[in-house]
Amino acid sequence: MLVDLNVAWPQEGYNKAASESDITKLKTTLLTLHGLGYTHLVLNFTANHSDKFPNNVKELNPMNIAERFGDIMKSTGVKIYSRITLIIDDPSKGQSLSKISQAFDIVAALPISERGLTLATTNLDIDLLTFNYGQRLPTILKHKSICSCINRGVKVEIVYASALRDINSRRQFVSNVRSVVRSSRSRGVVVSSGAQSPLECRNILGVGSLLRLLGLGNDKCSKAMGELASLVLLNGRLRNNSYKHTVVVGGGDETDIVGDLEGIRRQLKRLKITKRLHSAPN
Amino acid sequence: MDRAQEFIKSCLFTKSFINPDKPIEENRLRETLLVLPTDGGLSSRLKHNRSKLKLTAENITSTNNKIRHPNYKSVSKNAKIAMKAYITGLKRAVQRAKKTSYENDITEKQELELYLKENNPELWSQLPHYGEFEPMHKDLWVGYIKELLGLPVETAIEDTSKLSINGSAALLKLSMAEYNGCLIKVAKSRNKNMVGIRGIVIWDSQKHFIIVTQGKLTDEVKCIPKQGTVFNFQIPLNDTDALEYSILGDRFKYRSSDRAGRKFKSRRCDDMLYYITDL
Repeated sequence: MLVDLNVAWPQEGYNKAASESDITKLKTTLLTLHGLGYTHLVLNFTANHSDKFPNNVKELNPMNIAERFGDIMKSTGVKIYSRITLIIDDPSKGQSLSKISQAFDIVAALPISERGLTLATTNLDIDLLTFNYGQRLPTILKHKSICSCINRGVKVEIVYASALRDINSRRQFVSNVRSVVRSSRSRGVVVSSGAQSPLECRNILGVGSLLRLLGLGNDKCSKAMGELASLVLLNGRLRNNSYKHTVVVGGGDETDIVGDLEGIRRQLKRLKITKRLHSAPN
Repeated sequence: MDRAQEFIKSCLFTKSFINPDKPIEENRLRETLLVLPTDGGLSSRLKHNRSKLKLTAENITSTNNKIRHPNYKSVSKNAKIAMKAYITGLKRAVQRAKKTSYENDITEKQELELYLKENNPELWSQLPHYGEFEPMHKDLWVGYIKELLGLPVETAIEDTSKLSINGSAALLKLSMAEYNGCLIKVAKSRNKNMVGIRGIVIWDSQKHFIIVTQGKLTDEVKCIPKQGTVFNFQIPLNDTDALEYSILGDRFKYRSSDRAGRKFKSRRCDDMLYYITDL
Protein backbone atom coordinates (compact mmCIF):
# COMPACT_ATOMS: atom_id res chain seq x y z
CA MET A 1 0.00 0.00 0.00
CA LEU A 2 1.16 3.49 -0.82
CA VAL A 3 -0.04 6.27 1.41
CA ASP A 4 -0.16 10.01 0.86
CA LEU A 5 -0.77 11.58 4.24
CA ASN A 6 -1.24 15.13 3.05
CA VAL A 7 -3.45 16.36 0.23
CA ALA A 8 -4.37 19.94 0.99
CA TRP A 9 -8.05 20.66 1.57
CA PRO A 10 -8.85 24.00 -0.12
CA GLN A 11 -10.00 25.84 2.97
CA GLU A 12 -8.32 27.52 5.89
CA GLY A 13 -10.18 27.92 9.14
CA TYR A 14 -13.89 27.41 9.63
CA ASN A 15 -15.08 30.76 8.38
CA LYS A 16 -14.88 30.21 4.64
CA ALA A 17 -16.28 27.05 3.10
CA ALA A 18 -14.55 25.41 0.14
CA SER A 19 -15.98 26.41 -3.24
CA GLU A 20 -17.15 23.98 -5.92
CA SER A 21 -14.32 24.83 -8.32
CA ASP A 22 -11.78 24.10 -5.61
CA ILE A 23 -13.33 20.72 -5.00
CA THR A 24 -13.30 19.76 -8.66
CA LYS A 25 -9.60 20.71 -8.69
CA LEU A 26 -9.07 18.56 -5.61
CA LYS A 27 -10.80 15.67 -7.35
CA THR A 28 -8.37 15.89 -10.28
CA THR A 29 -5.49 15.88 -7.76
CA LEU A 30 -6.89 12.77 -6.12
CA LEU A 31 -7.27 11.05 -9.48
CA THR A 32 -3.71 11.96 -10.42
CA LEU A 33 -2.45 10.49 -7.18
CA HIS A 34 -4.43 7.34 -7.87
CA GLY A 35 -2.80 7.20 -11.29
CA LEU A 36 0.60 7.40 -9.65
CA GLY A 37 -0.17 4.29 -7.64
CA TYR A 38 -1.35 5.64 -4.30
CA THR A 39 -3.98 3.56 -2.52
CA HIS A 40 -4.66 5.54 0.67
CA LEU A 41 -5.09 9.32 0.52
CA VAL A 42 -5.57 11.71 3.38
CA LEU A 43 -7.20 15.12 3.03
CA ASN A 44 -5.53 17.69 5.22
CA PHE A 45 -7.51 20.48 6.84
CA THR A 46 -5.35 23.14 8.46
CA ALA A 47 -6.58 25.23 11.35
CA ASN A 48 -5.09 27.41 14.04
CA HIS A 49 -4.97 25.78 17.44
CA SER A 50 -6.14 28.98 19.10
CA ASP A 51 -9.08 29.46 16.71
CA LYS A 52 -12.63 29.00 17.81
CA PHE A 53 -13.89 25.54 16.93
CA PRO A 54 -17.58 24.80 16.43
CA ASN A 55 -19.26 23.30 19.46
CA ASN A 56 -21.17 20.66 17.59
CA VAL A 57 -19.03 17.58 16.87
CA LYS A 58 -20.76 17.04 13.54
CA GLU A 59 -19.72 20.46 12.27
CA LEU A 60 -16.08 19.98 13.21
CA ASN A 61 -15.24 18.11 10.05
CA PRO A 62 -16.01 20.25 6.98
CA MET A 63 -15.03 17.61 4.43
CA ASN A 64 -18.02 15.30 4.18
CA ILE A 65 -15.89 12.65 2.51
CA ALA A 66 -18.54 9.99 2.04
CA GLU A 67 -20.84 12.30 0.08
CA ARG A 68 -18.34 14.24 -1.97
CA PHE A 69 -15.78 11.57 -2.78
CA GLY A 70 -17.86 8.40 -2.47
CA ASP A 71 -17.95 7.99 -6.26
CA ILE A 72 -14.16 8.34 -6.57
CA MET A 73 -13.62 5.79 -3.82
CA LYS A 74 -16.01 3.37 -5.48
CA SER A 75 -14.69 3.71 -9.03
CA THR A 76 -10.95 3.74 -8.28
CA GLY A 77 -10.70 1.81 -5.04
CA VAL A 78 -8.62 4.42 -3.24
CA LYS A 79 -9.45 5.04 0.38
CA ILE A 80 -9.79 8.62 1.53
CA TYR A 81 -9.34 9.73 5.12
CA SER A 82 -9.48 13.07 6.87
CA ARG A 83 -6.79 14.80 8.85
CA ILE A 84 -6.54 18.00 10.83
CA THR A 85 -3.30 19.93 11.19
CA LEU A 86 -3.22 22.28 14.13
CA ILE A 87 -0.90 25.26 13.86
CA ILE A 88 0.47 25.65 17.36
CA ASP A 89 1.88 29.02 18.31
CA ASP A 90 1.10 29.85 21.90
CA PRO A 91 0.31 26.73 23.94
CA SER A 92 -1.63 28.65 26.57
CA LYS A 93 -4.35 29.61 24.11
CA GLY A 94 -4.92 26.09 22.82
CA GLN A 95 -7.80 23.84 23.65
CA SER A 96 -8.10 20.16 24.40
CA LEU A 97 -7.72 17.79 21.50
CA SER A 98 -10.10 15.09 22.70
CA LYS A 99 -13.13 16.61 21.04
CA ILE A 100 -11.33 17.63 17.85
CA SER A 101 -9.78 14.22 17.39
CA GLN A 102 -13.20 12.57 17.42
CA ALA A 103 -14.11 14.09 14.09
CA PHE A 104 -10.87 13.38 12.20
CA ASP A 105 -8.91 10.23 11.45
CA ILE A 106 -5.48 11.74 11.99
CA VAL A 107 -4.41 14.64 14.17
CA ALA A 108 -1.17 16.43 13.28
CA ALA A 109 0.62 19.34 14.89
CA LEU A 110 2.52 22.10 13.15
CA PRO A 111 4.50 24.12 15.69
CA ILE A 112 5.62 27.58 14.63
CA SER A 113 7.29 28.63 17.87
CA GLU A 114 9.70 27.04 20.27
CA ARG A 115 7.13 26.65 23.03
CA GLY A 116 4.71 25.15 20.56
CA LEU A 117 7.32 22.58 19.59
CA THR A 118 7.92 21.62 23.22
CA LEU A 119 4.21 21.17 23.77
CA ALA A 120 3.77 19.12 20.60
CA THR A 121 6.69 16.81 21.34
CA THR A 122 5.85 16.17 24.99
CA ASN A 123 2.20 16.42 25.87
CA LEU A 124 -0.16 16.46 22.94
CA ASP A 125 -1.94 13.28 21.91
CA ILE A 126 -1.13 13.48 18.19
CA ASP A 127 -0.17 11.07 15.43
CA LEU A 128 2.07 13.24 13.36
CA LEU A 129 4.49 16.11 13.79
CA THR A 130 4.94 18.32 10.78
CA PHE A 131 6.68 21.59 9.96
CA ASN A 132 6.25 24.38 7.51
CA TYR A 133 9.02 23.39 5.13
CA GLY A 134 8.82 26.56 3.05
CA GLN A 135 9.95 28.73 5.95
CA ARG A 136 12.64 28.60 8.55
CA LEU A 137 12.08 26.06 11.32
CA PRO A 138 11.02 27.64 14.64
CA THR A 139 14.16 26.45 16.44
CA ILE A 140 17.11 24.19 15.94
CA LEU A 141 15.68 20.71 16.33
CA LYS A 142 17.21 18.75 19.16
CA HIS A 143 17.73 15.06 18.82
CA LYS A 144 16.47 14.46 22.35
CA SER A 145 13.07 16.03 21.93
CA ILE A 146 12.38 14.70 18.45
CA CYS A 147 13.50 11.15 19.26
CA SER A 148 11.53 11.01 22.52
CA CYS A 149 8.54 12.06 20.48
CA ILE A 150 9.18 9.28 17.95
CA ASN A 151 9.58 6.75 20.75
CA ARG A 152 6.09 7.67 21.89
CA GLY A 153 4.81 6.62 18.45
CA VAL A 154 4.49 10.04 16.83
CA LYS A 155 5.99 10.19 13.35
CA VAL A 156 7.67 13.18 11.76
CA GLU A 157 6.38 14.25 8.39
CA ILE A 158 8.29 15.66 5.42
CA VAL A 159 6.14 17.56 2.92
CA TYR A 160 7.75 17.80 -0.49
CA ALA A 161 5.34 20.30 -2.04
CA SER A 162 7.51 23.26 -1.05
CA ALA A 163 10.42 21.74 -2.96
CA LEU A 164 8.42 22.27 -6.14
CA ARG A 165 7.47 25.93 -5.66
CA ASP A 166 9.75 28.99 -5.82
CA ILE A 167 13.49 29.01 -5.32
CA ASN A 168 13.43 30.49 -1.84
CA SER A 169 11.17 27.85 -0.37
CA ARG A 170 13.19 25.19 -2.17
CA ARG A 171 16.33 26.38 -0.40
CA GLN A 172 14.57 26.32 2.94
CA PHE A 173 13.18 22.89 2.19
CA VAL A 174 16.62 21.39 1.70
CA SER A 175 18.05 22.77 4.92
CA ASN A 176 14.90 21.92 6.90
CA VAL A 177 14.77 18.34 5.68
CA ARG A 178 18.46 17.91 6.47
CA SER A 179 17.77 19.18 9.97
CA VAL A 180 14.78 16.88 10.47
CA VAL A 181 16.63 13.82 9.20
CA ARG A 182 19.59 14.63 11.41
CA SER A 183 17.60 15.21 14.57
CA SER A 184 15.37 12.17 14.11
CA ARG A 185 18.36 10.02 13.08
CA SER A 186 16.17 8.93 10.15
CA ARG A 187 13.81 7.04 12.44
CA GLY A 188 10.09 7.42 12.07
CA VAL A 189 10.13 9.77 9.09
CA VAL A 190 7.12 9.74 6.78
CA VAL A 191 6.82 11.56 3.46
CA SER A 192 3.75 13.14 1.96
CA SER A 193 2.98 15.41 -0.95
CA GLY A 194 0.99 18.34 0.44
CA ALA A 195 -0.23 18.80 -3.12
CA GLN A 196 -2.54 21.69 -3.94
CA SER A 197 -2.68 20.96 -7.66
CA PRO A 198 -2.20 17.82 -9.77
CA LEU A 199 1.21 19.11 -10.90
CA GLU A 200 2.64 18.80 -7.40
CA CYS A 201 2.21 15.03 -7.21
CA ARG A 202 5.16 12.69 -7.67
CA ASN A 203 5.36 8.92 -7.70
CA ILE A 204 7.37 6.78 -5.32
CA LEU A 205 10.51 6.76 -7.51
CA GLY A 206 10.66 10.54 -7.74
CA VAL A 207 10.14 11.05 -4.03
CA GLY A 208 12.57 8.28 -3.18
CA SER A 209 15.38 9.76 -5.23
CA LEU A 210 14.75 13.22 -3.78
CA LEU A 211 15.01 11.87 -0.24
CA ARG A 212 18.08 9.80 -0.98
CA LEU A 213 19.68 12.99 -2.16
CA LEU A 214 18.81 14.66 1.12
CA GLY A 215 20.39 11.95 3.25
CA LEU A 216 17.62 9.52 4.16
CA GLY A 217 18.68 5.87 4.00
CA ASN A 218 17.80 3.80 0.97
CA ASP A 219 15.46 1.45 2.83
CA LYS A 220 13.84 4.26 4.80
CA CYS A 221 12.60 5.97 1.62
CA SER A 222 10.11 3.29 0.61
CA LYS A 223 9.16 2.66 4.25
CA ALA A 224 8.38 6.34 4.67
CA MET A 225 5.51 6.11 2.20
CA GLY A 226 4.39 2.56 2.95
CA GLU A 227 4.70 0.95 6.34
CA LEU A 228 5.34 3.93 8.57
CA ALA A 229 2.64 6.01 6.94
CA SER A 230 0.14 3.20 7.32
CA LEU A 231 1.08 2.97 10.99
CA VAL A 232 0.09 6.61 11.33
CA LEU A 233 -3.27 5.74 9.83
CA LEU A 234 -3.62 2.75 12.16
CA ASN A 235 -2.76 4.83 15.19
CA GLY A 236 -5.22 7.52 14.27
CA ARG A 237 -8.02 5.10 13.47
CA LEU A 238 -7.47 3.15 16.65
CA ARG A 239 -7.77 6.28 18.75
CA ASN A 240 -11.32 6.82 17.61
CA ASN A 241 -12.50 3.27 17.15
CA SER A 242 -11.07 1.49 20.15
CA TYR A 243 -10.78 1.83 23.88
CA LYS A 244 -7.07 2.52 24.45
CA HIS A 245 -6.08 0.01 21.74
CA THR A 246 -7.66 -2.95 23.53
CA VAL A 247 -11.10 -3.63 22.10
CA VAL A 248 -11.86 -2.40 18.60
CA VAL A 249 -15.17 -1.82 16.87
CA GLY A 250 -15.73 -4.16 13.93
CA GLY A 251 -12.85 -5.84 12.18
CA GLY A 252 -13.97 -9.15 10.76
CA ASP A 253 -12.03 -11.36 8.37
CA GLU A 254 -11.22 -9.26 5.36
CA THR A 255 -11.26 -5.82 6.88
CA ASP A 256 -9.24 -4.14 9.54
CA ILE A 257 -9.78 -0.82 11.13
CA VAL A 258 -7.79 1.01 8.45
CA GLY A 259 -9.38 -0.64 5.46
CA ASP A 260 -12.90 -0.48 6.84
CA LEU A 261 -14.51 2.15 4.63
CA GLU A 262 -17.86 2.13 6.37
CA GLY A 263 -16.04 3.29 9.43
CA ILE A 264 -15.64 6.72 7.93
CA ARG A 265 -19.38 7.08 7.87
CA ARG A 266 -20.24 5.66 11.26
CA GLN A 267 -17.30 7.22 12.99
CA LEU A 268 -19.26 9.08 15.62
CA LYS A 269 -21.46 6.12 16.47
CA ARG A 270 -18.79 3.52 17.28
CA LEU A 271 -20.99 0.51 16.67
CA LYS A 272 -20.84 -2.03 13.91
CA ILE A 273 -23.69 -4.35 13.11
CA THR A 274 -22.96 -7.29 10.84
CA LYS A 275 -24.45 -10.54 9.73
CA ARG A 276 -24.46 -13.03 12.54
CA LEU A 277 -22.27 -16.10 12.13
CA HIS A 278 -23.91 -19.24 13.39
CA SER A 279 -21.73 -21.76 15.06
CA ALA A 280 -21.13 -24.05 12.12
CA PRO A 281 -18.39 -26.65 12.16
CA ASN A 282 -15.07 -25.53 10.72
CA MET B 1 63.45 -1.58 52.31
CA ASP B 2 60.52 0.01 50.63
CA ARG B 3 61.30 3.66 50.09
CA ALA B 4 57.76 4.71 49.71
CA GLN B 5 56.88 3.61 53.23
CA GLU B 6 59.62 5.76 54.65
CA PHE B 7 58.61 8.74 52.59
CA ILE B 8 55.01 8.46 53.74
CA LYS B 9 56.11 8.29 57.37
CA SER B 10 58.64 11.13 57.28
CA CYS B 11 56.84 13.57 55.04
CA LEU B 12 53.13 12.94 55.42
CA PHE B 13 52.41 11.33 58.78
CA THR B 14 54.64 13.73 60.73
CA LYS B 15 52.46 16.58 59.61
CA SER B 16 49.10 15.15 60.54
CA PHE B 17 49.66 12.73 63.42
CA ILE B 18 51.28 13.18 66.83
CA ASN B 19 53.00 9.83 66.72
CA PRO B 20 54.07 9.08 63.12
CA ASP B 21 55.08 5.49 63.96
CA LYS B 22 51.59 4.58 65.04
CA PRO B 23 49.07 6.71 63.19
CA ILE B 24 46.05 4.74 64.42
CA GLU B 25 45.76 4.33 68.14
CA GLU B 26 44.40 1.18 69.62
CA ASN B 27 41.95 2.77 72.02
CA ARG B 28 40.60 5.05 69.35
CA LEU B 29 37.18 3.41 69.46
CA ARG B 30 35.10 4.92 72.18
CA GLU B 31 32.94 2.72 74.32
CA THR B 32 29.76 4.46 73.25
CA LEU B 33 30.30 3.29 69.72
CA LEU B 34 30.16 -0.35 70.68
CA VAL B 35 27.14 -2.25 69.38
CA LEU B 36 24.51 -2.78 72.01
CA PRO B 37 22.94 -6.21 72.40
CA THR B 38 19.45 -6.44 70.85
CA ASP B 39 16.40 -8.51 71.60
CA GLY B 40 16.24 -9.79 68.02
CA GLY B 41 13.36 -7.54 66.99
CA LEU B 42 11.11 -9.00 69.69
CA SER B 43 10.00 -5.71 71.23
CA SER B 44 9.07 -4.12 67.90
CA ARG B 45 7.17 -7.24 66.90
CA LEU B 46 5.25 -7.18 70.15
CA LYS B 47 4.43 -3.53 69.66
CA HIS B 48 3.18 -4.24 66.15
CA ASN B 49 1.01 -7.09 67.36
CA ARG B 50 -0.41 -5.03 70.18
CA SER B 51 -1.54 -2.33 67.79
CA LYS B 52 -3.38 -4.97 65.81
CA LEU B 53 -5.19 -6.22 68.88
CA LYS B 54 -6.59 -2.83 69.75
CA LEU B 55 -10.32 -2.52 69.24
CA THR B 56 -10.47 0.47 66.95
CA ALA B 57 -13.05 1.00 64.23
CA GLU B 58 -10.38 0.71 61.59
CA ASN B 59 -9.18 -2.65 62.82
CA ILE B 60 -12.66 -4.11 62.97
CA THR B 61 -13.60 -3.11 59.42
CA SER B 62 -10.28 -3.95 57.87
CA THR B 63 -10.13 -7.47 59.29
CA ASN B 64 -12.96 -8.45 56.97
CA ASN B 65 -10.85 -7.61 53.93
CA LYS B 66 -7.83 -9.39 55.21
CA ILE B 67 -9.26 -12.88 55.21
CA ARG B 68 -6.69 -14.73 53.20
CA HIS B 69 -6.42 -18.32 52.46
CA PRO B 70 -3.81 -19.78 54.83
CA ASN B 71 -1.88 -21.51 52.05
CA TYR B 72 -2.81 -19.41 49.06
CA LYS B 73 0.51 -20.01 47.31
CA SER B 74 0.25 -23.77 47.26
CA VAL B 75 -3.41 -23.59 46.21
CA SER B 76 -2.61 -21.41 43.22
CA LYS B 77 0.36 -23.58 42.33
CA ASN B 78 -1.75 -26.73 42.50
CA ALA B 79 -4.44 -25.07 40.37
CA LYS B 80 -1.86 -24.30 37.70
CA ILE B 81 -0.58 -27.86 37.74
CA ALA B 82 -4.11 -29.23 37.54
CA MET B 83 -4.93 -26.92 34.62
CA LYS B 84 -1.83 -28.00 32.75
CA ALA B 85 -2.55 -31.67 33.43
CA TYR B 86 -6.12 -31.22 32.21
CA ILE B 87 -5.04 -29.61 28.95
CA THR B 88 -2.27 -32.11 28.23
CA GLY B 89 -4.68 -34.94 29.06
CA LEU B 90 -7.17 -33.61 26.50
CA LYS B 91 -4.45 -33.16 23.90
CA ARG B 92 -3.13 -36.67 24.41
CA ALA B 93 -6.64 -38.08 24.12
CA VAL B 94 -7.14 -36.21 20.83
CA GLN B 95 -3.85 -37.61 19.55
CA ARG B 96 -4.83 -41.12 20.49
CA ALA B 97 -8.24 -40.72 18.89
CA LYS B 98 -6.63 -39.50 15.68
CA LYS B 99 -4.26 -42.43 15.73
CA THR B 100 -7.08 -44.94 16.11
CA SER B 101 -8.98 -43.27 13.28
CA TYR B 102 -5.92 -43.52 11.09
CA GLU B 103 -5.36 -47.17 11.96
CA ASN B 104 -8.98 -48.08 11.26
CA ASP B 105 -9.38 -45.90 8.14
CA ILE B 106 -12.08 -43.71 9.64
CA THR B 107 -12.57 -40.34 7.92
CA GLU B 108 -15.93 -39.19 9.28
CA LYS B 109 -16.58 -37.61 12.66
CA GLN B 110 -19.79 -39.60 13.20
CA GLU B 111 -18.09 -42.84 12.32
CA LEU B 112 -15.26 -42.21 14.77
CA GLU B 113 -17.75 -41.35 17.48
CA LEU B 114 -19.62 -44.62 17.01
CA TYR B 115 -16.41 -46.61 16.84
CA LEU B 116 -14.97 -45.10 19.98
CA LYS B 117 -18.20 -45.43 21.94
CA GLU B 118 -18.29 -49.13 21.09
CA ASN B 119 -14.66 -50.11 21.38
CA ASN B 120 -12.98 -47.55 23.58
CA PRO B 121 -15.50 -45.75 25.80
CA GLU B 122 -12.71 -44.70 28.14
CA LEU B 123 -10.98 -42.70 25.43
CA TRP B 124 -14.31 -41.22 24.32
CA SER B 125 -14.92 -39.88 27.81
CA GLN B 126 -11.46 -38.32 27.87
CA LEU B 127 -11.94 -36.41 24.62
CA PRO B 128 -13.04 -32.75 24.71
CA HIS B 129 -16.60 -32.28 23.50
CA TYR B 130 -17.60 -28.99 21.95
CA GLY B 131 -21.22 -29.68 22.74
CA GLU B 132 -20.48 -29.72 26.44
CA PHE B 133 -19.04 -26.22 26.30
CA GLU B 134 -21.72 -24.77 24.03
CA PRO B 135 -24.15 -23.89 26.86
CA MET B 136 -21.30 -21.97 28.51
CA HIS B 137 -21.40 -19.63 25.53
CA LYS B 138 -25.08 -19.63 24.64
CA ASP B 139 -26.65 -19.57 28.07
CA LEU B 140 -24.05 -17.91 30.24
CA TRP B 141 -21.76 -15.62 28.29
CA VAL B 142 -24.23 -14.11 25.82
CA GLY B 143 -26.60 -13.24 28.63
CA TYR B 144 -23.79 -11.82 30.70
CA ILE B 145 -22.41 -9.60 27.97
CA LYS B 146 -25.85 -8.35 26.98
CA GLU B 147 -26.56 -7.44 30.56
CA LEU B 148 -23.20 -5.70 30.78
CA LEU B 149 -23.86 -3.56 27.72
CA GLY B 150 -27.42 -2.79 28.71
CA LEU B 151 -29.06 -4.71 25.87
CA PRO B 152 -32.35 -6.54 26.45
CA VAL B 153 -31.36 -10.06 27.50
CA GLU B 154 -34.43 -12.17 26.84
CA THR B 155 -36.01 -10.56 23.79
CA ALA B 156 -34.31 -10.22 20.43
CA ILE B 157 -34.06 -6.74 18.98
CA GLU B 158 -36.19 -6.50 15.84
CA ASP B 159 -34.93 -3.31 14.25
CA THR B 160 -31.18 -3.11 14.71
CA SER B 161 -30.86 0.31 13.09
CA LYS B 162 -32.69 1.83 16.05
CA LEU B 163 -30.24 0.35 18.54
CA SER B 164 -29.23 3.03 20.98
CA ILE B 165 -26.28 2.34 23.23
CA ASN B 166 -23.28 4.50 23.86
CA GLY B 167 -20.50 3.12 21.71
CA SER B 168 -17.54 4.42 23.69
CA ALA B 169 -19.01 3.36 27.03
CA ALA B 170 -19.59 -0.09 25.56
CA LEU B 171 -15.94 -0.29 24.51
CA LEU B 172 -14.83 0.66 28.00
CA LYS B 173 -17.01 -2.04 29.52
CA LEU B 174 -15.80 -4.63 27.02
CA SER B 175 -12.19 -3.86 27.88
CA MET B 176 -12.77 -5.17 31.37
CA ALA B 177 -15.32 -7.85 30.61
CA GLU B 178 -14.93 -11.55 31.21
CA TYR B 179 -14.20 -13.67 28.16
CA ASN B 180 -14.50 -17.21 29.50
CA GLY B 181 -17.25 -18.68 27.36
CA CYS B 182 -16.93 -16.23 24.50
CA LEU B 183 -16.97 -17.61 20.96
CA ILE B 184 -13.88 -16.06 19.41
CA LYS B 185 -12.25 -16.32 16.04
CA VAL B 186 -8.67 -15.54 15.11
CA ALA B 187 -9.06 -12.71 12.62
CA LYS B 188 -5.43 -11.81 12.03
CA SER B 189 -2.19 -13.22 13.26
CA ARG B 190 1.51 -13.18 12.64
CA ASN B 191 1.23 -16.92 12.41
CA LYS B 192 -0.87 -17.34 9.27
CA ASN B 193 -1.80 -20.92 10.16
CA MET B 194 -3.87 -19.72 13.08
CA VAL B 195 -6.11 -17.41 11.07
CA GLY B 196 -9.66 -18.67 11.01
CA ILE B 197 -9.58 -20.86 14.12
CA ARG B 198 -12.88 -20.50 15.90
CA GLY B 199 -13.90 -21.79 19.29
CA ILE B 200 -15.21 -21.18 22.78
CA VAL B 201 -12.83 -19.77 25.37
CA ILE B 202 -12.57 -22.08 28.34
CA TRP B 203 -9.83 -20.20 30.11
CA ASP B 204 -8.50 -16.68 29.68
CA SER B 205 -4.95 -16.84 31.01
CA GLN B 206 -2.44 -14.03 31.07
CA LYS B 207 -0.81 -14.75 27.75
CA HIS B 208 -3.09 -17.29 26.11
CA PHE B 209 -6.68 -17.96 25.27
CA ILE B 210 -7.42 -21.65 25.73
CA ILE B 211 -10.26 -22.55 23.41
CA VAL B 212 -12.28 -25.59 22.40
CA THR B 213 -12.72 -25.91 18.66
CA GLN B 214 -14.72 -28.14 16.42
CA GLY B 215 -12.41 -30.25 14.31
CA LYS B 216 -12.86 -32.51 11.32
CA LEU B 217 -12.44 -35.73 13.25
CA THR B 218 -12.60 -34.76 16.90
CA ASP B 219 -13.12 -31.58 18.87
CA GLU B 220 -9.84 -30.11 20.01
CA VAL B 221 -8.37 -27.89 22.68
CA LYS B 222 -6.01 -25.18 21.47
CA CYS B 223 -3.89 -22.60 23.26
CA ILE B 224 -3.78 -19.45 21.19
CA PRO B 225 -1.14 -16.91 22.29
CA LYS B 226 -2.43 -13.39 22.64
CA GLN B 227 0.79 -11.87 21.40
CA GLY B 228 0.59 -11.03 17.73
CA THR B 229 -3.04 -12.03 17.27
CA VAL B 230 -6.30 -10.18 16.73
CA PHE B 231 -9.43 -11.94 17.93
CA ASN B 232 -12.88 -11.28 16.63
CA PHE B 233 -16.16 -11.86 18.44
CA GLN B 234 -19.81 -11.14 17.95
CA ILE B 235 -22.62 -10.25 20.30
CA PRO B 236 -25.84 -11.60 18.79
CA LEU B 237 -28.77 -9.18 18.66
CA ASN B 238 -31.29 -11.33 16.81
CA ASP B 239 -31.17 -14.26 14.40
CA THR B 240 -29.50 -12.41 11.55
CA ASP B 241 -27.60 -9.49 13.05
CA ALA B 242 -24.85 -9.13 15.60
CA LEU B 243 -22.58 -6.48 17.04
CA GLU B 244 -19.01 -7.02 15.99
CA TYR B 245 -15.87 -6.25 18.00
CA SER B 246 -12.29 -7.38 17.97
CA ILE B 247 -9.65 -7.75 20.64
CA LEU B 248 -6.06 -6.70 20.03
CA GLY B 249 -4.20 -9.50 21.77
CA ASP B 250 -0.99 -7.49 22.04
CA ARG B 251 -2.65 -5.01 24.38
CA PHE B 252 -4.71 -7.58 26.24
CA LYS B 253 -2.00 -9.54 27.99
CA TYR B 254 -3.45 -9.41 31.49
CA ARG B 255 -5.42 -11.88 33.53
CA SER B 256 -9.11 -11.06 33.67
CA SER B 257 -8.92 -10.23 37.37
CA ASP B 258 -6.09 -7.76 36.75
CA ARG B 259 -7.80 -6.32 33.73
CA ALA B 260 -10.92 -5.34 35.67
CA GLY B 261 -9.31 -2.56 37.65
CA ARG B 262 -6.67 -1.65 35.15
CA LYS B 263 -6.13 1.71 33.55
CA PHE B 264 -5.14 1.06 29.97
CA LYS B 265 -2.88 3.40 28.09
CA SER B 266 -2.47 3.66 24.36
CA ARG B 267 1.04 2.84 23.31
CA ARG B 268 2.88 3.18 20.06
CA CYS B 269 1.58 0.59 17.65
CA ASP B 270 4.71 -0.16 15.62
CA ASP B 271 4.44 -3.82 16.55
CA MET B 272 0.98 -4.15 15.06
CA LEU B 273 1.85 -3.86 11.40
CA TYR B 274 0.40 -7.32 10.82
CA TYR B 275 -3.03 -5.89 11.59
CA ILE B 276 -3.12 -3.89 8.36
CA THR B 277 -4.48 -6.15 5.66
CA ASP B 278 -3.43 -4.78 2.30
CA LEU B 279 0.18 -4.00 3.00
